[in-house]
Amino acid sequence: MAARTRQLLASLAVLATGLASVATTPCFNSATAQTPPTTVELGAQGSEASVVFRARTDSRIESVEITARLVSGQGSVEVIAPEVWLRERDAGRPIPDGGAVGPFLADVNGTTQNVCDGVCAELFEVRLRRSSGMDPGSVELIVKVGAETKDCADRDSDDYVVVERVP
Amino acid sequence: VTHSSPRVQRVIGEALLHPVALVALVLLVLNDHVLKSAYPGLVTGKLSDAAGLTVFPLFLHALLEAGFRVTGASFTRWSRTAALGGAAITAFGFALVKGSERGADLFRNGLGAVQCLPYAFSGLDPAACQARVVRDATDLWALPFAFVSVWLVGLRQWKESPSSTPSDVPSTHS
Repeated sequence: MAARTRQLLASLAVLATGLASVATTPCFNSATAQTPPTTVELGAQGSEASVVFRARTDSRIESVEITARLVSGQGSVEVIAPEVWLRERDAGRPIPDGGAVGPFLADVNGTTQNVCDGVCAELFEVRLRRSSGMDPGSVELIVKVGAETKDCADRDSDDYVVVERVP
Repeated sequence: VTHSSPRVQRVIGEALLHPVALVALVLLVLNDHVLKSAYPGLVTGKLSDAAGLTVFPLFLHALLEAGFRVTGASFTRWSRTAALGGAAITAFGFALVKGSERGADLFRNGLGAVQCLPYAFSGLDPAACQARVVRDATDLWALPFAFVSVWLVGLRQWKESPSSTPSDVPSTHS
C-alpha cells in the first residue's frame, strides 16, 4: 500500500481514536431503596427533631429523596438537612401543610461524603423543625436513596443499595 | 558508487492500523454506543476499558510522533520509549480515575469540559453536562491492556529495521 494511502488511513485511525476517547459514554443504571415510613413526633412551633439514616452501597450514591408529611397537627414543618447532602436551594424549604416535599437531590459535585469505596456505610441526618403550629404534630418521613450501578448492570436494589434508620 | 539505503517516511500513527488496534477501536465505539445499552452487564461494562486502554496509548504515541515531525526531530530512537511512556501515563491515569475520588473528579471535569464544548456555543448551561464516571476498582484488571501498545509499536519498529532505514524526514526532501 502506498505510503500516502497508509498515512491517510492512519490519520483517520488517529482521529477516530481521539473522538472515541472523548465521546466515551459509560452507561449507568440506578438502583434505589427507601425506608418504610418513619413517624417523628414534633412539639409546637420551633421544636426540632433529628433522625439519622444509614445508606450502604458499593457504588456512588447519586440521589437522596426526602419526603416529609405532616400527618397530625396543624401548621407546617421544615426539612433541614446537612448542606453536604442537599443543595442549598432545597435545604430548609418549608413543607406545605399536609403536603410532601422532594425530591431533594444530593450534592454529587465531588463531595466525598456521599461516595463509598467498596461496601460502606454512609450516615446522614435529617433534621425537622416545626415552622408553624401550636399543637404537637407527627411527621411521616420517607428517605429514598439512589445509587449508580457499575458495569451498566441493572441490580436488584435489595442487595445493591440499602437505606435504614439508625436507632 | 555508493548506494544509500532508501529513506522511508514513517507513517504517523501506523501502529493504529494493526489489526489488534483496529479491532480494539471498533470494539470501543461499538461497545460504548451500542452494546452497553443493548446488553448491559459485566462484559460490556469491562470491554470498553480494555479496548480504550489498548488504543489510547497509540493515540498519544501518534500525537507525539506528529509533534516530532513538525519540529523536524527524529522520532525513531524515541519511539519505543514514547510507547512505554504513553502506556504508563494511560495506565496511571486510568488507575487514578478508577481508584480515587479526586482522580474521578478530575476526569469528570476534564472530559466534561471537552464534551460540553458544543454547549458553550449553543448557549446552554455547560454545568448541565458534566461527564460521568463510576469509580470502580475492579476495572483495574484491564490495566495490562495499556501495554499492548508497546508491543504493537515494537512490531512496527522490528518490521522497519531489517530492510530499511526509517526516517522522519519526508522522502521528498531526500
